[in-house]
Amino acid sequence: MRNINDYYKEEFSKIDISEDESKIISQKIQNKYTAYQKRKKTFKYISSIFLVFILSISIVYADEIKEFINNIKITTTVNKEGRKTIEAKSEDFRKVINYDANLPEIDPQKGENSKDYLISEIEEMLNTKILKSKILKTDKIKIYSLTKENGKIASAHFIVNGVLDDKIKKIDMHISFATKFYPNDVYVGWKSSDSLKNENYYIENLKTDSYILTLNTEMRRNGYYDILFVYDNIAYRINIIIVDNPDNRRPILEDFLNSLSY
Amino acid sequence: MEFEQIYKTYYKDVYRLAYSYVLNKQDAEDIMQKSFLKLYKNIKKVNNSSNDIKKWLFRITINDCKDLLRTFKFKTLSFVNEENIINNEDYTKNDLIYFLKSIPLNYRVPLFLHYYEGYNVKEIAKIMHKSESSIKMRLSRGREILKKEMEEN
Repeated sequence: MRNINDYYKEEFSKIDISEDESKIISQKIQNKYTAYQKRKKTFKYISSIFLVFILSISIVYADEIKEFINNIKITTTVNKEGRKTIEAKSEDFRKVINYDANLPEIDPQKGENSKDYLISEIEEMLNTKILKSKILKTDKIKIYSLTKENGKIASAHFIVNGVLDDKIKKIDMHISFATKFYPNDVYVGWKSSDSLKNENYYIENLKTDSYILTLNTEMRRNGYYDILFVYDNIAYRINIIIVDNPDNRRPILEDFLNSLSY
Repeated sequence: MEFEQIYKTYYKDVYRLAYSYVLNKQDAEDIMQKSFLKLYKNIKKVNNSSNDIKKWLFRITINDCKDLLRTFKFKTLSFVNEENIINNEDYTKNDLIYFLKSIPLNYRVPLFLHYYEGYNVKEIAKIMHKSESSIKMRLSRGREILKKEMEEN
């Protein structure tokens, strides 16, 4: 008697396909595979063309919205998610100051901090003017970073921390510039984080355009504003949190911007 | 391994597996073509992996068979004219293949993989993505039904 396994094996072997039929199927597979490869190539080709097209549009767009304010180039880049980055870059112009001013080199990355100076003191030492406001309620200023090349001031970044009140929870004014001794071609005065929205606001009192950025909706809800502008070849950045009634926040902000003067 | 070489080595096994699932020549050939085309597209991946090519092909074939069985065409054909599926082919009433149609689908494939391909329960469970106990049960039930059918005829 046959073993049951052999029986099953023999019976299943009866399911068969002829060699000719298998060759036809093999040929069909080859044809379909060739067609698949062609489709794949075409898809890749079309995708690359599309990509180049999109890139070229982005470059043109980014290029088109370059502006020059006081010789400092402002570039807005829009990424594919629609978020914007603004940079104030100084390529040609360098701020003219007293390059030999007796100020220390400060590198915040090494944890170095400066002492407090009076704004008037810094103005005198550098022989340049800095914007001030009564709303800041302070006459003190700190050096955030300062670099020198061969003993000459190459770049400087100052901060004025405003005094807070029941309407303003935080107010910091950053002031930065580069001089002709700055060793790199491009100096970035400020570079915003990716923002959802950039709003232009013309500061009447300074006759200068500014950018009011909305980084995210939560920050805006909490009264946080990030304002960037360039005045007299100095890049200014103001971070302010206004905690007053939401309807009053914007007028408070505009009042502050228009209160800035020498 | 080159595609042609794999095809020559395994086409009969793939055809038999597909046939024992769908029980008709035309669909078995279509499934065989579909499964080998998938292999061709993934030949580098399959060759580079530690997978046994034959087991990989069987898994693909079983999935393709399941896809076909889910289609409207197959459901309608099976329901209206189940008898003719086998009767149109070259097998006689004395062949085991003839009785396969009496065995539920779930039992047919484990029987084929075990008795024809010689896979053990663990390997079949892996190929079919089922538990070992479920494969054991299917083999035993399949054998019983087949035996009963053959005795009655």
